[in-house]
Amino acid sequence: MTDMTSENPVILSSKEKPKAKKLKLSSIIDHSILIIGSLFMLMPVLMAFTTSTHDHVTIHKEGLMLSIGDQFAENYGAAMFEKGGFTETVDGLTMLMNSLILGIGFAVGKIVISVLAAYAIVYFRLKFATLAFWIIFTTLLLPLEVRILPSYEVVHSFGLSNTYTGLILPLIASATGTFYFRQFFMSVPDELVEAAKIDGAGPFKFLIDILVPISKTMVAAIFIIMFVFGWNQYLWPALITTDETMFTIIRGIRQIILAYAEGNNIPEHGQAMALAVIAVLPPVLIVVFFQSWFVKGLVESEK
Amino acid sequence: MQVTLKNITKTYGNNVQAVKPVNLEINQGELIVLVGPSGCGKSTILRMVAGLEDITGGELYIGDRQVNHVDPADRDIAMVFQNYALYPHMSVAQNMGYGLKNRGVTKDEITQKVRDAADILNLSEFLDRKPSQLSGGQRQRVAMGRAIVRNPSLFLFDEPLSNLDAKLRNQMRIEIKKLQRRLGVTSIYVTHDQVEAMTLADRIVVLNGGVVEQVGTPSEIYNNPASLFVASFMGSPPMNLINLAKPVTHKNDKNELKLVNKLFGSQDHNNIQIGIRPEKVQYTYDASENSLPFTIDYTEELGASRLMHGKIADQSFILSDTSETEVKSNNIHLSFPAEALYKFDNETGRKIEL
Repeated sequence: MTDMTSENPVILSSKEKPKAKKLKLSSIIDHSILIIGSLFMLMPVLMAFTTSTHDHVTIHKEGLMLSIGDQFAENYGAAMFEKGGFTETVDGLTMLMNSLILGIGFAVGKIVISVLAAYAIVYFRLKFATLAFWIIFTTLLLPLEVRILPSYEVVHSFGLSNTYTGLILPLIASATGTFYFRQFFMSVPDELVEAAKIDGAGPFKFLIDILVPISKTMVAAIFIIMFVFGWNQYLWPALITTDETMFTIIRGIRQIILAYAEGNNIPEHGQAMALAVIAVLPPVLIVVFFQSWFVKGLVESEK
Repeated sequence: MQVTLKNITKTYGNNVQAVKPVNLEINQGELIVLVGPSGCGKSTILRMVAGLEDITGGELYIGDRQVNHVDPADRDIAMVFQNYALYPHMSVAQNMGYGLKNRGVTKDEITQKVRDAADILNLSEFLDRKPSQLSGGQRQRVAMGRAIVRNPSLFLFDEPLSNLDAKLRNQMRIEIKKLQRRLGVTSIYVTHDQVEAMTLADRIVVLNGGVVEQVGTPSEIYNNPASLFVASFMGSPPMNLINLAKPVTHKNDKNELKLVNKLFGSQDHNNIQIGIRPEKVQYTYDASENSLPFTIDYTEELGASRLMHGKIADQSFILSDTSETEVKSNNIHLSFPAEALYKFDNETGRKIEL
């Protein structure tokens, strides 16, 4: 008995010491990894911002800058409001507008199409519903890049080049969205449909009155993802728009550097960086804005 | 409204007949309870009446109208679901008024009707809340409100109380019964809980494996069970059944079986089971000519009564004692009043008239 009581504290103290030490070490490692990781992600953005506040000669001479320069207002003003490009008809504001139309049209279009597709697959006794779903799903293997030539051919022959329709429509079929909504709809209890049936709601009413409102957090999540995805489209807009007034901001960044470089001038790096920073802002704002909304939806936890 | 089921059957795609021909006539204002173990077809029958499930065969009448192929919304019914199935994004008032809105009732009238229904169900102060802000019992009441607000000719209840805790369940059971009496609407109520069935029903329909075992008032079902299944399913604790044809090996069990056989004088027909309700068994401490020795293995104290478990001829046997004095010895002698005994045929499972 005496042995045991004297032994116990010894075991405890010898056990506790290395444990505390180990915990400290591992948390240091964990945090270093996190800090390095976030620096890795943040530095390019930060450098883009700081560089954008210098004039183009400094940048051309000294490369990317980490200090803050004095050209903030000039660069941003020029990037936003100065007409540029070959035809001198497009400014940053127009491009921002175009990107916004593409981003919102892309996201809304994708949501509408995938809600309808998922609704059909989940709630209607179609003969080959599962097959149809898997066919939709396998199109994930065929991104736009694979079918870009035929897509271009079709859209162009419809006379949709240089239109918003041509910019958005070919992109809105979404296997991912359909998949997410299908999973969500399948988790909605059957009794809800049955109660609605007894309450005299037809298929369309059920979709609008009940299914869409209870999917709103889902819609918000997909909207965020799809807006950013649409905003960042480069290849398709580059192909389908040749009219500079239809350019998106992502394309415009490159165009500014090119246009100025043509005439033996020093490229306007400062303005390009300013445009890049502006281009990053809307997706960030969308995420921030929808996130608060998102959390609210989660906390209420209906269903 | 009178409801008539004529040879209603349900066969699923894989040729499983979930409901064998069911005939039932439900009178105006009657509360019928369908009871049975899970998979007995009770919910399927209810869902066929609601129109949520296609009827494979037979005819269904609500009133004089055959409704086999009528849309659920046009059958003039209302249904209360087990998980309430409230629309989570709508307020209580919107939930209750949704069916009326779809039927083109004017806004003022909806408001009035919802308010009336809320008054009946004590929900007036919750009309603006969302279902997620309500307790289980309140949600249950909203589901009831959604049903009564339309003033339908038939109520359907699909295990509406099984998501509530025991105390609330008893309370809601009484409320449902009162409400149904007050509104006088014909109702079909599905449950697996035989206590619920006994307390609520005007008539009970006991189902087993898609077959109607018995239809009758609660007391008929309890006091005059038509089959082995009904006898063992209804009543808590269930009826004691002693299978006289059970092969036993132990010498003691053999003797007991012989004794039981002798007591019940059933030499002529051995392939039967003897049944007796636990509360009808009498016990004494001394052996007599018509008594059976019994050893109590364990006792369950329920407060109002005491359940004593043991075995007769290797078959479990329970007796229920409501007297206040505890049993003094674990070895007692049982006697069985002749009028409390039931005989069932082992092969058909049906009751044999004594």
